[in-house]
Amino acid sequence: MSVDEVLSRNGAAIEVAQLIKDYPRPGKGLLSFFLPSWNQDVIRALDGVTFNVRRGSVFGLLGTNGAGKTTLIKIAYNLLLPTSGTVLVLGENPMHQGVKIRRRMGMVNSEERSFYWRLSGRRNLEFYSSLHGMNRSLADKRIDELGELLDMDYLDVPFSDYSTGMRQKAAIARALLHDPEVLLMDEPTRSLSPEAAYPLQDFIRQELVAQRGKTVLLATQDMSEAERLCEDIAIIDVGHLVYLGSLAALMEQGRRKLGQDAGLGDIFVDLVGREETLE
Amino acid sequence: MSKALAFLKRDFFIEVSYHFNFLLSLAGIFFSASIFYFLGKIVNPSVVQDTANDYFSFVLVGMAFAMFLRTGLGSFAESMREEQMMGTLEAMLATPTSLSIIILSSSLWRFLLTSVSVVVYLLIGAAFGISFAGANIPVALLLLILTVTAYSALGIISASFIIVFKRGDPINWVVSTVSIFLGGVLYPVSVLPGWLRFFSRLLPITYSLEGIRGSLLKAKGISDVATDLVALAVISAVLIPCSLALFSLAVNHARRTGTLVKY
Repeated sequence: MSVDEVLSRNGAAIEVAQLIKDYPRPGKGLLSFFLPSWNQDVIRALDGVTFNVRRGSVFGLLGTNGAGKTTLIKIAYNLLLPTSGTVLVLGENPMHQGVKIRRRMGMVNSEERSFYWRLSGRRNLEFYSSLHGMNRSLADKRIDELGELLDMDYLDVPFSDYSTGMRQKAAIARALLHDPEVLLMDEPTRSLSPEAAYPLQDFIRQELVAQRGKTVLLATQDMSEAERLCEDIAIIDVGHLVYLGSLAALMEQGRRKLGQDAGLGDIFVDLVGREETLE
Repeated sequence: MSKALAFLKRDFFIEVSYHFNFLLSLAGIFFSASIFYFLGKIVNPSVVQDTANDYFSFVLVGMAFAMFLRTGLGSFAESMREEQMMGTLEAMLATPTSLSIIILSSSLWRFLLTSVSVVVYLLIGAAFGISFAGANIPVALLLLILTVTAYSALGIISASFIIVFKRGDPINWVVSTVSIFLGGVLYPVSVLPGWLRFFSRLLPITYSLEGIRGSLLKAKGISDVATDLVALAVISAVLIPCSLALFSLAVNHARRTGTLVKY
């Protein structure tokens, strides 16, 4: 039985096993300038990370900048090849079944530039729905539904006129166009004010997960967001998994050590041993 | 097919959002054609008699169809780089659409605009007195398809370079410069020294323009341009598998190094 088959038997939505990712680091010296692979070193972005994400839950992938969160999400989308180890999404390996599995996944990132700013939100969503293979009438219906669900009454306005919060809602609408079972969210509320972030977090928790049974892998360094949304979490630090388990258990364990007033941020800092870029 | 149409629709709406862009490019075609019309009056027609009736018709067909060279050669790399820089490539790759379909479909609009521009060139030529009365359109189209195939293969190699090195693509620069210099776009290959003529025979554009000028301006049939057709077919047959293999290597390299969506 292959590694992929063994992993997929436990029925988790996302299974990450012994994942290692090394990025090449250019060597120094004149020869390395002309021959980039000469004397090349590597930077290990993920070092043997293993965890499972239960179906119908919000799983938090917590870490500071450069911890390896985005690398992991990109491997799950086959935008990156792992050095070794496996990621399975709904039992399929994106490396081998990339196109097939992307029909069942949605990605939300915090990259505002990932839309065509000269087009309206609706035209953008129409374009992306075509890339999901949706026909015109289904796409129109779905875009209207999502517009209503996310309270987007500005779909016909040029994307360039959207505020940051409106753009982030459009990114969520795009990820939901094809009604995927699994959503990978990379800092979906980054650069949003609490007034804009909280309703989106409530939408993810209540509408997507509780009502519709979606599975969400949420990569974030916003500890209050993780506290509001996640049931289970993995904390990674410079590619190493330093905690894996339920948020409640970590809070209990951390408060026993640091005192009852300790928040997730304090516990996180205690675990990774520094305060770098925490929100 | 529906995905290709979605790309065309997207690019159409983006294009019309820039109100004067297309009108200005049409005006550019009119003025460059006019310049060559008057230039043609001081060039002896016997210089181009093998493939055209006068210098104006020679250069107009050369300029018009060389646009396909530039589009085939540059559009894939340009589309790739544009999508990388706009940040839309990653979002597109998150859909069940392969990178090759994204790049090919992103280039369709450029090919469509080039086709429109070529028709405009030919219409302006007709307005200035060029006769296409006996033109063999099917043969010209066949030659054009093979030309686009050959230069698209080179364009895919160019896009592979952009995927790995991001900027400073030497393939596009070398091939387009050498093709314009030696391929008989602005002057016939016969005016080149013998040793340079040898190199011009290695370029698809040489066969393409000879054949297309013959079929459009001298009413030549398929047997008259057989050499050009065979040469273009052989060049395409060699370049297409090489370009696809290189593209696959480049994408895997970018996926390994994490640079696929970086610019």
